[in-house]
Amino acid sequence: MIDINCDVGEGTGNEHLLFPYISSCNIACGGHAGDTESMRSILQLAKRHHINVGAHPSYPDRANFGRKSMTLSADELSTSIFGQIKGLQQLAHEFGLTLHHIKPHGALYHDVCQKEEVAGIFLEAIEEFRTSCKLCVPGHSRIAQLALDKGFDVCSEVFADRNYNEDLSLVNRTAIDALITDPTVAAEHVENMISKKQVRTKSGKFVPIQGQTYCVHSDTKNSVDIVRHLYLKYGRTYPLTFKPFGASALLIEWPEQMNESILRDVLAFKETIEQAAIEGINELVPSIHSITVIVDSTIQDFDHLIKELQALYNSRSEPFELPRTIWKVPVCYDENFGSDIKELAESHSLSKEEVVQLHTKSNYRIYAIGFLPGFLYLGGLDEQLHTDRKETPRLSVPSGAVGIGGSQTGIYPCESPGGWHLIGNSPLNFFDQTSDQPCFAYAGERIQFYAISQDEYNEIKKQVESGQYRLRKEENDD
Amino acid sequence: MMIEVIQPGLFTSLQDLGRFGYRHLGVPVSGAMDLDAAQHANHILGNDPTCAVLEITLQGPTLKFLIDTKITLTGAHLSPEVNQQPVEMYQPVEIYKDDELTFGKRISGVRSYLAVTGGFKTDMIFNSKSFYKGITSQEKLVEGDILELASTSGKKAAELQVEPPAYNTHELYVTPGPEFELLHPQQKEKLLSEKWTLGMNSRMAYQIEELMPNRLPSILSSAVLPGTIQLTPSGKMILLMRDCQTMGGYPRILQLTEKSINLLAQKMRFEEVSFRLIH
Repeated sequence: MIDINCDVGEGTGNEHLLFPYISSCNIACGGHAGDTESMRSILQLAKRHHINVGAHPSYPDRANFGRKSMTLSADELSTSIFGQIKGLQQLAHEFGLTLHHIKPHGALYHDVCQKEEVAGIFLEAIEEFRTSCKLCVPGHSRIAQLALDKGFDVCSEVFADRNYNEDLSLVNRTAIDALITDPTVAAEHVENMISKKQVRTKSGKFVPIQGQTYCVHSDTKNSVDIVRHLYLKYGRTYPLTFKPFGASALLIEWPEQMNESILRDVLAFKETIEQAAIEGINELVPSIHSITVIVDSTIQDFDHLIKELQALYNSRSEPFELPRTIWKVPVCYDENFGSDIKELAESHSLSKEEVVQLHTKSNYRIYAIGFLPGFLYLGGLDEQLHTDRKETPRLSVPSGAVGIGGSQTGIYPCESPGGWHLIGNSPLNFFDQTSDQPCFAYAGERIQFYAISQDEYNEIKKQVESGQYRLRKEENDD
Repeated sequence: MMIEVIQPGLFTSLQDLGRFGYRHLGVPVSGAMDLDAAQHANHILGNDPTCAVLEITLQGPTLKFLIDTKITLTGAHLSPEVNQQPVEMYQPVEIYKDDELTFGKRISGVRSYLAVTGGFKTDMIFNSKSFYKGITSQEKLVEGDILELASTSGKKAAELQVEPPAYNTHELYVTPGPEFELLHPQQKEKLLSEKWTLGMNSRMAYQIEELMPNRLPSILSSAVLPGTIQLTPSGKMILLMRDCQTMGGYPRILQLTEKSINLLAQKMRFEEVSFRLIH
């Protein structure tokens, strides 16, 4: 697993093709390219693909695409760099994203590597981000040492699509062999850096080099093929653990975290196993961070199955994207349904309306379906609504009840006992055993609640009962 | 072609081998609590192993047969009688129209299984006839129910000599659960050396009366199986059975073997059990 980064938002327009394969991006923030609109659209795309976002500040020189050194006063340069990064940071916050790193662009990149004075100005300009962002520069550069001394977290960058001179400077862009555009050659280039910790320089001589992130420029010819090649060879995978779970089940576990990156990997691997149609596997039960593989009695030897599954995981090919579907679920938050909503609002010093507003604002990711038939494990409840479960559970909670328990929100698909605070009720039927698709949604999709009145509730309930109701959905990346 | 339920007994339900392939939607496996006994019943009559049988718990029902047929009773010995005449367990029994099957005193076990030649004709939901609340239209028999029978197959009953089990061993065989290694060595020692008293129980789970000193926190919800033994943060041990939920958030410390699930299904509250680890 290696970190692959791309310079983006520079007008190439191929980000949507690159992002499935990379893990970090450096977003042009107005110096050499990029404006508010381009930054917003890249941030949105990055969020969808769970990619680290970084700022890519430059000399303020759009005419030359930031590829020429400029003579600016220390103040002018510093103000420009700070302004570019700050602007991107503010936009990132709109999407709930934080800046992961800063990487200077073009001539500024070369100057901070070679000129101590420029390096000093640059570090001064980004001081505010010292503890929150990594600095992406070559590990062997002058600025790397200076930054480490000042307490920056330096991420050592190497280039997958550029040839190196023996002194580890990059072959000048004007030379014919500056760029590597053949995906196979780029992969070899990277392989040397990973396995030998050396780079094959232009002259053929191998020189030691350290890389923590591998850059591919989005405007390099064949950039999409190059990152795809690298993804297939070194793309992100998690350390899996395999545990026998009784005589007829094998548990596959990811790190114990509830996040979309792991969920995506779980669902992708589930699909891969299904397609492999391994004999003896009867059923797969995916969860937030695990898959339980149910086997029949023909499988006696788990060691063999584990090897087979691990090999399958390692050979996984195309990246998997979480579904874009958002289901719109109507909820009546009136107090005759949401018997605990008033108390819950008071315990957080919120009004009832604010609770409804917070609860209907978020999209909730379905991490798993289980526990009860049709019960959805939802992630994404606003922290302001986190509420400890009731001390004494209710003996009976009606079907369709919408509740909050701890950091979770959810819907009771059928009448059952329950310890969650009830804030509303949905008129939908959340599990229909007579249907080919008993549960309206799949793990990985999202739902959003919207508030309805008692009258609308009654109307929808009628439609649901007569089988005429169609649940609304939209396809969205937000 | 049917049986009338005169009185339903304590908890009588139709069960087969279980409902597979729907756990990813939260649908429990269900199926006969003591699969061994249920399968014997079908086998003795020459039925297909997938035929549903009646699972009878402690106090049996009164059933009136409206047809000539053949039945077999296996599992718990609940003193079955046909027209007030005792009938043998683990044997094919001829039944004539208007015969009445009743049960009496419990001799051994908890769950008795009644198979009828050709099986029962009820709705298949997700490839199974097993009753489960919310999935099938009923979770147990009630007075006045009419049970339809499938057409009597001409298959010859198997010549099977099965010794009715006594269920008197207290030892349950277990393998390590996914979180077993998180237990403290002293906890493992205690868990595997002591005798534990069975508490409240149902088709979903058996609880253990005694608490196990515990500091393990909950886990991120993940799959549980019939036979999984959970340990709650407060030290309560829960032995999950056939109707258990599909996911849970308590550490899964042990896993009962299939045979031990069947044995446990024949045990009562306040009986003692111990756990023997096999690898």
